[in-house]
Amino acid sequence: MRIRPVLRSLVFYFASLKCCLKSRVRIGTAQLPMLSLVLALPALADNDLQSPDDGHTAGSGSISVTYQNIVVNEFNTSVSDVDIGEVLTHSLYLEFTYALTDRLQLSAGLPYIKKRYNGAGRHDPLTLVPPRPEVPFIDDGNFHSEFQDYSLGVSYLWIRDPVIVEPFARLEIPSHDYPHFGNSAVGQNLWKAEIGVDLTKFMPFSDWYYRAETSFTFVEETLGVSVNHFRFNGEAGYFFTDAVSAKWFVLSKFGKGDDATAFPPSSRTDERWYQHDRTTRHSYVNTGVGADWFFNENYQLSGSVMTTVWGKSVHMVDIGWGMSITRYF
Amino acid sequence: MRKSIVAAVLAASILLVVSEYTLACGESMFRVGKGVHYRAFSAPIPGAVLVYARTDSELAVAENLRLAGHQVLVVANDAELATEMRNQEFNVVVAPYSKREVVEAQSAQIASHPDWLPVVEKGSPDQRLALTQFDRVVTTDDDVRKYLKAIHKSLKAQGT
Repeated sequence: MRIRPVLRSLVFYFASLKCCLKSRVRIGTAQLPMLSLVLALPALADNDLQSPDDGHTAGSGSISVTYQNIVVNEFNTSVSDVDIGEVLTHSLYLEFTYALTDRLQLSAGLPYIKKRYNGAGRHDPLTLVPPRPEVPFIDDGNFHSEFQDYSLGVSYLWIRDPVIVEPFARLEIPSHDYPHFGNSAVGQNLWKAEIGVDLTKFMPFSDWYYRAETSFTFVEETLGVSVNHFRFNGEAGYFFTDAVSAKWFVLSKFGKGDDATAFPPSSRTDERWYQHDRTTRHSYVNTGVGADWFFNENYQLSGSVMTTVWGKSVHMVDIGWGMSITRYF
Repeated sequence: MRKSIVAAVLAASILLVVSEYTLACGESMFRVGKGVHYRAFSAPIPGAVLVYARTDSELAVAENLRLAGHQVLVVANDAELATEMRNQEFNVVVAPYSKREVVEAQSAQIASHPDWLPVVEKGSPDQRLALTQFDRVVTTDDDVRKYLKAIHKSLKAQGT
């Protein structure tokens, strides 16, 4: 693989992001960095690149850009779903994978997230006791953008047949000290370490496949509260042709942490309240459908749409949709 | 005045009720699976398969059987079919139903007694006849999956 085209793509990507940040962009321009990267991707199409495979050949890998749009209008209090106004999130996720050996694969990614909250539940740092003017007030109805957490992962192809078994580990490190207090917060600003296993089964003589992934995430504690959690993800897919497939998926998270009912309005001035985004359990079950299309030997276009069907102390996703483009090498 | 007070109290109550639950909790991004590549059909039990193939489509079937993991030998005429059946051991012979005399004649003389998977034209008299004699019959129109399934059943029955 040649390094220069990859660097050129990265320069395009980050230049576009910088442009968005500087120009206090409107909603539509969130897609600009993805567009620029997509335009830059053909630069990678050198003749000496290896043929695409499933990422299990030393030296192979991928670069992908994902745009995701999430609309939230309700919050689950652990008692019921209540209207909170609107939280609108645009995210752009750049990820690289690279197979060091035929079994060992590395991955690295960084999301850029733009979020806006409009509603009555603004989190104002000046209402804290004592007031915290040094903390940015982000629930002001405007979009706020931040790079979120670096994601560094490693997976190992342990078994190929009859089921593909891949244990994995992932580390998430905040890219900087971004605000975590607010409905518009892009993340919790906490270190996370996830270990899990991914299973994929291709049915014999069939175009169906099934995937299951389970993991446990250790999260940096805040005020002595653990928000460690399990994830269980499942997917059933069908290949219409060798290039086009569709899938139904479930994403779920169940964890420890404070319940939303632990924060009555009277308590919302203290340190626990300031840290509640980091100490509240965010349990949910999301489900949706998606499709993947290899429109070229090396390029894959993917799309998905989902919603939250169950949640505890968490924002309920009304609708979340995403598009991604992946370039395999 | 009273209306204004009532309205203010009502608005404050609504705000209180709403704000009681507006915690900022959730994820900003969800990972939706990962790209899954198409995987060609694979044979759970690989076997030795002799394929009588002359046309492009028959040769394509043979190639797909090989890609699925079977050890495939292709023959193109009756003489080769007879010779290979005598010289080598096969688990399954895939050959046109019209070649039954050649196959049956050889099967009687060799030790391995491979299963025969007859291939017929779809809707032909041969298909109806073959179905009365064999548990498994494939047609020239069938997808390679049908071939793989039939071969798999034979191999399973043989205890391979």
